[in-house]
Amino acid sequence: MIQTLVNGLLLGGLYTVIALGLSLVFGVMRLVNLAHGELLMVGAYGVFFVTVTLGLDVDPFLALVLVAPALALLAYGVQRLLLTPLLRHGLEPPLVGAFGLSLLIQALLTKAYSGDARSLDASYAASGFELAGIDFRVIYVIAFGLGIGLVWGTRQVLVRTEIGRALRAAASDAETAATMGINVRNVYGIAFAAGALMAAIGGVIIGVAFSITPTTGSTYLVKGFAVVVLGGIGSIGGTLAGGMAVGLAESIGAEAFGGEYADLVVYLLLVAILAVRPTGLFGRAVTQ
Amino acid sequence: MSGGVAAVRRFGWAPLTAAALVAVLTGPSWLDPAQQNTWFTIFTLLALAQAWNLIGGLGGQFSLGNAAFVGAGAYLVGVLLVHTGISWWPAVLLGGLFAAGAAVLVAFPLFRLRGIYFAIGSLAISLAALSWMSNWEFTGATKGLNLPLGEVPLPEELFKAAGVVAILSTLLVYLVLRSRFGLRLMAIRDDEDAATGVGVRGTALKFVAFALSAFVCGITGALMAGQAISIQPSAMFGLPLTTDMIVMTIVGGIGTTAGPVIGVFVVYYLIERQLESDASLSALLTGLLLIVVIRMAPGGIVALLKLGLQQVVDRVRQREVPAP
Repeated sequence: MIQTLVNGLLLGGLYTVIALGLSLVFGVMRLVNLAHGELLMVGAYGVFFVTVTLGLDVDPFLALVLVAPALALLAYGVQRLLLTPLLRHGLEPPLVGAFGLSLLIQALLTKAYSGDARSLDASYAASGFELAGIDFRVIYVIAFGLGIGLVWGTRQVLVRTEIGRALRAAASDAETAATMGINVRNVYGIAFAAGALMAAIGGVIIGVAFSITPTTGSTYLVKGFAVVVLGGIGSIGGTLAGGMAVGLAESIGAEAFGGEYADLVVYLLLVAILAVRPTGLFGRAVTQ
Repeated sequence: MSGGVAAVRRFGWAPLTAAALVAVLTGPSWLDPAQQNTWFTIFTLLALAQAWNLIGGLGGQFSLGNAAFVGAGAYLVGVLLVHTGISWWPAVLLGGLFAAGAAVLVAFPLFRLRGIYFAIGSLAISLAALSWMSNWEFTGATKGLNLPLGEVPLPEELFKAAGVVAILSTLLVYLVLRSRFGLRLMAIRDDEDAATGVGVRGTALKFVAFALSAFVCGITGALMAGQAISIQPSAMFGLPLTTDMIVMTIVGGIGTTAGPVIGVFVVYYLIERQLESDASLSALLTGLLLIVVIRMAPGGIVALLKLGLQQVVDRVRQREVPAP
């Protein structure tokens, strides 16, 4: 039982990392990025490109140092050229645009790497250790650490830096922020780029801990969304709580019903939460 | 005289529909089996696109979950044929009704949601259905079911059925667009708060649209099962189906009758068929097309055609006016 709970919490770290980008983008520009799952995959495949296609035998997370900024830059471009202009046209065009983006990315990845499942090689990918009678998987512990670290880091940036203030201003009232000299389009681009960066990290964790295909993204989009909804829209600390909750739910669900049904438990949890309390545990009320 | 014009306006769709039905029902006599197969696919895609058009276009709810209803219809038919004595056509009808029923059930948690919440909620339902069906031993899990060959009609019959379903679902969209139900539904789509303010009950309307959409998806899924004989969750509950429905409708012209028709032709015939050997290239072009359309011409090809037509009409009118 303790093992299940520990697994759940550690897994929660991964889900926090995955959801953080989603939560940030939604908080700042009210856009739930339907292509977020694909951004995770791009991060993972990007590292795959560096380590396998280019043949650089480095640790995936190290390769990420090269890959993540490139992805963030691309994401910035996509946001400014495609998504921000669509935000002005109502609620559906950004959805459709992100959807189209997700299709495009899936197709590109399939073209480049086929639909076969792959994973990222790391010396610690399968290793674990034992502490007080409980088994810990190294990659899970790393994910947990990253989850907490990124949440803390994001909060620091949002609260203590100038760009963070700009992000928060744009999030709370974009028009007024613009009148105060904040380049809102630039801020949106940065938020999206940051989201993509964190998605890349999440993708690498998934690639090391499990396996990836070009279409694996959708599952994580839904799980990420479950985290965001549970934790409350726009609440960074809530994302951590939500991540833990989803991780625990999946872990307990796997223990109770079998591993094949673990995902199903999370999907149904999301639907249940949406039905009952779309505002989540910590968030403010939203009608959209 | 005016009575006649009014009659044409009310029932002008009848001759075209009748002609289309005749063409489809006599199809096997002037189309060879390979062509019938192609048209079967076109018909099923069109029916599915119109089904999505109902909920996504007219209803304004971006549903990512319609594949679940296709699969529901397909699998119900499979299960009924394998395990009961119910024959093909009643089973198909039951498949549609089952899908509609599932939609009503699913609508309860989803319909207080709007926009992205509904989209991802419906995606979760679709993924949940896929996940469940991939593990359920009763329906063969990932290996799926095989429909008993003796119960399934000939390809020609399926071709005709698919054609009829495609025509009727297009007609359904056409009629809904011009009905009071449709007007109210679109009012909800365009501004739910304002519409509710004048007494339009959004939730009930969306339920109905969703159920209709699911019904068409279920019937189509049943027909697809009949054609495939061997069905698996990945094909019948898979996201590519949902993707196709959405892309074809939006590229063609969301919320219009002709949109899905054009969309199916452009996306399936021009892209997917031509690039059959390179599936990811065609997927790439499709995704790109969707992005270009939503960015440049959100109304789809239909809107572009209307715009073009308008410009032609304007230019003609300009020439009729004598220069000062």
